[in-house]
Amino acid sequence: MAIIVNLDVVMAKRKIGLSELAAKVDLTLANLSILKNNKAKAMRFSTLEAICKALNCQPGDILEFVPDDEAGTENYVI
Amino acid sequence: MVIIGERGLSGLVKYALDLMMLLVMIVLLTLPITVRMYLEAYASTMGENCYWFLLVFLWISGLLYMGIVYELRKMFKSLNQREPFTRENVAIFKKIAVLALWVSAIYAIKIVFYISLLTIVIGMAALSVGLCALIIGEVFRQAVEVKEENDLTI
Repeated sequence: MAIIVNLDVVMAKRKIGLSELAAKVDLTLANLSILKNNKAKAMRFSTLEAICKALNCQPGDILEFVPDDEAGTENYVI
Repeated sequence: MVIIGERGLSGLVKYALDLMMLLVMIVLLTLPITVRMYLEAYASTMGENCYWFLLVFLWISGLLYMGIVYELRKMFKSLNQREPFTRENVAIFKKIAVLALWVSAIYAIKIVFYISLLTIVIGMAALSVGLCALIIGEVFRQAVEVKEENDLTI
């Protein structure tokens, strides 16, 4: 998908673990993993708000738009 | 009363289906004797051909009916685990539809040879069950799609 979730980058900057963030934003670990691994199809505003609050950042820090062909080549590298 | 759950109505219905499965098996196994008794008691003028026709007809429709009960049992098992919207259940509805439509087709064949009011009633019932199962299966397929979308919305 053209929208990339950069949650892991922001989490690394803030030095916060997945389970710690899950507790802070009141999500299950499984759901947070889906979000972090770019498997999610959509994101609620309430979730976005909670994550921004917990990580003290802007939505733009977490979400990024990459046109589809670029994202494709990136996936091949991975 | 709880509708869905191991201890709710769906749990009870599953036990009823288990019992029904057993009864159908017993009826199918004793069919050669019961058909003979029926013919001697009510239609002794009918010949040997009628006996074999009835036996084969009832056996086939009984086996199809057992298939429907078996599929329903599978569905109720997943209902009791509170996961109704799965791809397996969509497939189960399609199988039930096909089996029920076959039952109605076989009853339609019987109407051609030996017509009776009860045959028409059961044939019509099987036909409507088959069509309803086909439509509810499609509804379930759409529900599965909505559920997957919902599960992937964080």
